[in-house]
Amino acid sequence: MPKIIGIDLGTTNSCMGIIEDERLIIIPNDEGFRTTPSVVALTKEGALLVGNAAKRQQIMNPENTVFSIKRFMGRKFTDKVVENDLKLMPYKIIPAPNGDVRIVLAGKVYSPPEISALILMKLKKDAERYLNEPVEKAVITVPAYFNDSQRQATKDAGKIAGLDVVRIINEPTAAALASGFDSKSKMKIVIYDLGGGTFDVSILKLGQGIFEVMSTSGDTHLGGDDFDQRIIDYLIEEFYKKEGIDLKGDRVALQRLKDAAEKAKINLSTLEAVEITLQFIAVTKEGPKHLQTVLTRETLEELTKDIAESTAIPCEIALRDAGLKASDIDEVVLVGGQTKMPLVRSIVSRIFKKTPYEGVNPDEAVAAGAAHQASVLKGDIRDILLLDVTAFSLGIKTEGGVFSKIIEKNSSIPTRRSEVYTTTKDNQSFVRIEVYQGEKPMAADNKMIGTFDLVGIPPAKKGVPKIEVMFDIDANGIIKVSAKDLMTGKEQAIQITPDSGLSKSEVDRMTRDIGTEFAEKLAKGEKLKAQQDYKQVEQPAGEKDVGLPGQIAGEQKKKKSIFDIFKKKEG
Amino acid sequence: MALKNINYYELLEIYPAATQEEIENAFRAALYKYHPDHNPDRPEWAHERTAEVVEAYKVLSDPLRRKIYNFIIFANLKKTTKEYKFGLFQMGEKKKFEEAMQYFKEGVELYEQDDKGSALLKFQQAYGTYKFSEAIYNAGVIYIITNKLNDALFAFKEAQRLDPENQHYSKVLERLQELMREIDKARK
Repeated sequence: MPKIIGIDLGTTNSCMGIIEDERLIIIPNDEGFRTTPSVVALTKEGALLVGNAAKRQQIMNPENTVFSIKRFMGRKFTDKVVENDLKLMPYKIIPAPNGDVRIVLAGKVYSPPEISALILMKLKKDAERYLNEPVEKAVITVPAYFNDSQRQATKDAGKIAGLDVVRIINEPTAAALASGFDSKSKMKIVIYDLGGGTFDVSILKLGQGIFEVMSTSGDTHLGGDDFDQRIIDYLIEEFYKKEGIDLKGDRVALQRLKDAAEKAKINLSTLEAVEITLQFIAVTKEGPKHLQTVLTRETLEELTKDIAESTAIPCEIALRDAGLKASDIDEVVLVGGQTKMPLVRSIVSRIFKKTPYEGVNPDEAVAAGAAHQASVLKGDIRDILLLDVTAFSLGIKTEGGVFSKIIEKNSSIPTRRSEVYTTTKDNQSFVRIEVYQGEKPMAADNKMIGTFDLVGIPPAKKGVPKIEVMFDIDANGIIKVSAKDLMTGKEQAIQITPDSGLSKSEVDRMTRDIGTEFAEKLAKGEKLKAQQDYKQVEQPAGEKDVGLPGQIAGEQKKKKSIFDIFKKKEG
Repeated sequence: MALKNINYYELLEIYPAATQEEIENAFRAALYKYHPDHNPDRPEWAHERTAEVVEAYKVLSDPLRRKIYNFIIFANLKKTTKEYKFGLFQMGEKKKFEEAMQYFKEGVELYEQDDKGSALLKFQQAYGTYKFSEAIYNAGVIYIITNKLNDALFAFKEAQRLDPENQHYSKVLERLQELMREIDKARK
């Protein structure tokens, strides 16, 4: 039986796991780290770098280093959230002919699934190296609040990377699987998942081996990145006040600021204050300028309080939708790196009137859950089962542009609903159905999924043809629409025009081309990375200018995990 | 409520008198049996069955929905009519009745094709053409399924008026009134 790995394809970091001999293994990457930065870069020498190597050179090469690609998966260029991100991203983003987002890397245009595929290809390769056998199947996690287009884009990314994505599961649900609670005993748990770019909250009912999601809510554009941005804005403002220099237009400076902001934020989870030093951040006629400041936890909390507070609304919605009160909840599980922040923890405690459960590793829980699900699908684990829900209502556009719901949000999936349609004119040969996802009363205010044309309807008087249209949401949360002619009982022809995403032929072409296109670049990257590693050993304090504690701890962790691998391989 | 012609109790393999706990246990057992995760070799079949199981559980686990569902099963659609006799001098009436019967039959067929909206129209047409109790009763059944309880009440009262001897009509009427009282109470 071929192996199936579980992958948490995160906004900032990705992680993978597998269950072997009933034991969970978090698969380390080729550098021995348990998580891999979701960063892809093309260097000036034409080398492709993915993961830690890409992140390390980010400061020097901001225009051709892509991070947070997940924010653009299945998105339209004109989406409001994308508009905001455009200003923040140092790499170039352009619209595709169909309105989707495209990334420009070294003059060539790539779709977000292709960039994600490069990350997946690296993970796949590292997993194969570690497991010492080919890996072709994977369970990939997505935020519960990902709509159909975003899920499709993730599936496409897997395909382009040469992975058969056997299941897409929701991140909070995955975390629940990995939480270690005995699914045999009855309890209600909340998963509060604040990652790098997305926020999800799910409420689950456990019992008799079933993890049943009762409700889910969230925000696909709220996460650790937003906290970082507040620090960056603050540093820019402080620097402007002091030196009169605006760093906003300087891409290299922005990248260094981002790096420093993220590190400072992480360190402030355990320290009360950190010093941020960025030498030569700007050059003026009078000579180089340095940024030097102290950031306290108090200031950080002031800067980001409103973001952290804004997660309370989805939590309340999730409780209401599940028909529960905070006091009905038995445990609250925190997932995602941003939940390490003390402010976030205290806000969560306040919302649910409970101290969060400490039993999970926020960075690895999602990948561990994906590994569990992979094991269920492989048939190795038979005593747990996930029953998830759809986070959005599904419906169609009816007269006057009104959105008519067919499947309500928080319906358990898989689910099916059928509706009967007919013609409104004599001899009408086709009926158009526009499918949307969302909660707004007008269809246009919701996310369009696609247009479905029932074609080749036999000529008849208006109102006579009867076509049953089936709306399915499968266990992946992906929508399928099919139709049956009730008069003849035959399958009704249907033409599907998705509103966004890649066509099957595009995916096929990318799957074919990506290997050849990047083979040489990747080889160059390997060479470059080897040099990078060498430099690192030679000069361990390579990122001296930030000079914060935590660095040493990181080095130790790295060594320890490499040691772990050796141990495992021997054993 | 999109109601397919499946008996939810049969699907979950429980008796109509099952307790909430028994329903929950049966639901979980059915999920284990049908879920796509446990049936990788027949995903389509598993998807359809699981969708049905989920729907059945959704209805039966909600006490009020379950009562409405029980009522729907009880107030089954009439597929045939009792015999109506027409005398020599009622030829006009007989013709009208035959026309109405045609609508009635079409209504039953549409209902079985799961096209409730069109079936309702046919039963209304049948009743409009010739006032016979089965047509208006069937319209009432569809009103129940589409959650128009007041319209259903009116239809069943009319059916009873047309055929006061019919025991089933009086029982349906009685149970519907009881159900409506409970719904009112639940709303408050």
